[in-house]
Amino acid sequence: MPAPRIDSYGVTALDGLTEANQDRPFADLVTPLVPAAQRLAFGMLQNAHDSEDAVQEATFKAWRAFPRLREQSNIRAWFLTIVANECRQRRRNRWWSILKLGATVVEEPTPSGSDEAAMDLRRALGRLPTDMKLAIVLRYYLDLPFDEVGRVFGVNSNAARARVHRALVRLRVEVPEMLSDE
Amino acid sequence: MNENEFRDRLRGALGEPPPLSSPVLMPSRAGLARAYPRGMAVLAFVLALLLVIVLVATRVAMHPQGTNLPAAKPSPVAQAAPDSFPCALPVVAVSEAENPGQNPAMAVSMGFVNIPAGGFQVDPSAAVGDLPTGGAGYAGFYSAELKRWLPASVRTMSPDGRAYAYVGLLPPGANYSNFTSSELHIVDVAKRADRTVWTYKAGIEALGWDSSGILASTVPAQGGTRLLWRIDPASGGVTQAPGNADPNSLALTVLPRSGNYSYLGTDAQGRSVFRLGSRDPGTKYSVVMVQSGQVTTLYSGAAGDSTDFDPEGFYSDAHGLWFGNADGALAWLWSQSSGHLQSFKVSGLPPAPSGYTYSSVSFGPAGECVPGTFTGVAATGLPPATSPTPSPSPPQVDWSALTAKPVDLQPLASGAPCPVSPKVDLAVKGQSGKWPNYGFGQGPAYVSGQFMWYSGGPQAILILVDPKYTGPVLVRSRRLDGTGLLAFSGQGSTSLPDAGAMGLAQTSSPPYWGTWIGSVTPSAPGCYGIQLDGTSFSSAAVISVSKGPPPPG
Repeated sequence: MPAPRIDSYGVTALDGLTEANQDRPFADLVTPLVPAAQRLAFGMLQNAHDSEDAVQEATFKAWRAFPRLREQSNIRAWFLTIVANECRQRRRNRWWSILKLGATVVEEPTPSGSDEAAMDLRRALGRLPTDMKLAIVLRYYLDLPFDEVGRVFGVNSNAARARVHRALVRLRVEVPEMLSDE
Repeated sequence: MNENEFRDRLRGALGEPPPLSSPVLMPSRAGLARAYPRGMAVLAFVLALLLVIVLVATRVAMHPQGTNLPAAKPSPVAQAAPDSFPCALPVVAVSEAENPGQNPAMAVSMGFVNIPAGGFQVDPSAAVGDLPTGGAGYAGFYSAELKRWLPASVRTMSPDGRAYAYVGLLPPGANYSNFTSSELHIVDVAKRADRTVWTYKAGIEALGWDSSGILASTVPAQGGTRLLWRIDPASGGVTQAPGNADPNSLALTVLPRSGNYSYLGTDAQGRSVFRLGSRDPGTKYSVVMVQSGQVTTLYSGAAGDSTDFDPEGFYSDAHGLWFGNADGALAWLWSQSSGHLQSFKVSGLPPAPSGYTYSSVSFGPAGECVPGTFTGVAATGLPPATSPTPSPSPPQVDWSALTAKPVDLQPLASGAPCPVSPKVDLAVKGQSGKWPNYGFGQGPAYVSGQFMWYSGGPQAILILVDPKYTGPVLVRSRRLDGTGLLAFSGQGSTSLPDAGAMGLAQTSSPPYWGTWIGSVTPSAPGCYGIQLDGTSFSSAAVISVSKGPPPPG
């Protein structure tokens, strides 16, 4: 079986772990999850550098917490939870972002279809409370089923469904043109 | 819009993550021992001892007085007596305020906290606009050596405090969304000389600058492998550095392998400070310093305990390690010689602005605490919130004139089809944002927001009011084919339960349309009429509510 390919961010952290020569099980388990982690971080932070940092940091934290992972745990949800927490922390930690970005131009990712509606939707997402944005990103950007969305939030699938629904309602209020079927 | 359409639209809006690179796991470098030359340790100790002697002698000979900041720069290695005050600690104070749904407001003040009294004063001469900063942002840093503020941080300052590094994005004018490469600059402040020392096809970030050069990381513009580099500032020579050269990676090898941690920074002596443990109230945490593989605990406690040590920002000087506090209330000094953690109550920070739901002020140390007392100007806060006012006082409306109007929503005959109102094309111009270009009803007030209505939960609804009418609007509803009601809710509305109605006191503001957004929850599927009454009109819209939850989007 070929060695898992590291497809994206987190490679530095995993390099470090590999150097430690004793964490192959962790690297083997987490490596396939890194693309999803990258997608989650990018969806939440909308910045390539920040999302890379978040995944790097989350990988370290996951490695630290790895010994406490129970055998029956869903490792994808476990890892994405750590990534989500890292993204929450980064959105909260304004101090760092201000010092880091100072007077730079506000960064706007370049969507594939960069029309005005897409910009409005992206800005509206940015204004959502973090957990609402997380619910939208997990469900519709990562295509996770509700039970996995629930695992990331630590709630059951019904509660996850409700969270996603509330986030959508809020999003409709934020982007009224989304209400149009035209 | 169905679920798949919403998914597509979301992906179009967010874009895809940067293309994946295909790095491979690097071969183990565990065999490369991180040697720490003993001779260097002895040399460092001797130098430190000499510097302590020089510092003490200088202090005795030149005891500072007055309100001007002396230029003498204490050695960052030696430890001054923790009580060698007064001194003025340079800090960058950040005021933030936010109302839900609006972009946050923020202001940055550079000034000094006078220690030990704790008073903050803004430095009115703290401009840095005369120095280059590139397009990558900067933090404020006070150089005691140069007696001025710089667009730099402790990470980007040269060891002698006379130059700083910054990153410029290319092509000129690019930002992080569209840059293709970047270049590392060094600015000799005294000579006003800005030179490019390294250009690379990736984003460069300076992580530190010490006697062995500038440590920087690079990440390709479209994402990919992060690499570390050591740049010789004199020659521009660049060599790749191992992954563990990043001070942040120290935690991986020396700190307890469990729980959360956050990296607060590394000083010029290679001392890295970490917070271990979360900020959740009651959680045990500790703040530790790591140097040469040795871990020193600065503080252990529980989050939210009476000590309230919640460090933010970090700078070390001759006094010890300085920290801000997350709530902006305290400055902290940890002395390595005594192992003592001392707090200073801080006052005079920018006041909380009015009109905001959330506001905060915090600060971080931005240079060494320079002997003397600083006299600047008092801090001013953010201006009050402007539009929209978060909790406006709606105009006083006598609703009785509108509630007295009869409800003209006639019940349907049994089995009759629901006479759903036809869509009316509108040209809505709101004060901000985009709005639907359609509505239902006869105007000048219209129901809008949905074409399909569902009984399984709240749906957003808009009441759009043409600017030719500026008065209040009363909203009433009836189910036309049975028993049921529509429950409206939303900010800016007045509930009138006795009349079974909702009032909108503020509507249009010419030339802009009135754009009230709220939600409506039908009690059951069926055919509903919504009557909109103003002082000069009555309008009605009929909607059909289907069974089930509304689809996403």
